[in-house]
Amino acid sequence: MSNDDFSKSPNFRGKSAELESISHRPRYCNIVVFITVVCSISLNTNYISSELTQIKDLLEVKLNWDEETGSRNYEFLQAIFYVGACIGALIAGRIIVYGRRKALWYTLIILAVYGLLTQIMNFWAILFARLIAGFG
Amino acid sequence: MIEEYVPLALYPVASASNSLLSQIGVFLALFAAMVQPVPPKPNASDFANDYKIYEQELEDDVTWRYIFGFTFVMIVIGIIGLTLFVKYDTPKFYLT
Repeated sequence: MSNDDFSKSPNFRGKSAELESISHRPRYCNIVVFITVVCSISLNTNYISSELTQIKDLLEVKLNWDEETGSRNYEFLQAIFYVGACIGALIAGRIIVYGRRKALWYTLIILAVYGLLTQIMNFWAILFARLIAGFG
Repeated sequence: MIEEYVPLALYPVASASNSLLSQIGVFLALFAAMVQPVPPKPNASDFANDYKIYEQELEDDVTWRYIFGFTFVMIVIGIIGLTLFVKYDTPKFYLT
């Protein structure tokens, strides 16, 4: 790609100042930003996918699950996260063309909504929260 | 995705950090068992009574708020990082 092609790129137009700024950013800054933002998403995604394994008994008591429906509901809560992940993977490609920064914003906001929704100890709230967390 | 956010020279460190933090996420989720009431042993002499006490402890337990809320705290840190440090999009996005 030649220099002329860069200037013709629709995203590049008027963005030379931004590129200049990025190129002069110290290296330590890049890694701090990366760990703070991108890695926090990885950490949270893995945390959310695993957190239910340790609180099955607690959910059974808090949500008044009996033995018959308890296991089914628990497995459903586990599975819905991956259903959300499948839907999210299908849509992510369309969102990322608007910018990686915007995609990060959407992901962080979705996971923040998950954090708030799960404070309501209700089966449907947790189910919906895990669905959108997987989507994020 | 990782290679878009960091320069190529930092990619090995960034990739390793990402994998490490992913596994820390799983570790922290499993660690949640440590802050909850301990279930009775199945071979305990008075298992039925112990289990009722355990259920009552779970009923009164509020640690689930912290277990679920941990995500929110981490995400707030991420949002602060994104707001303060990530002012622009990635170079690859601008160039494509």
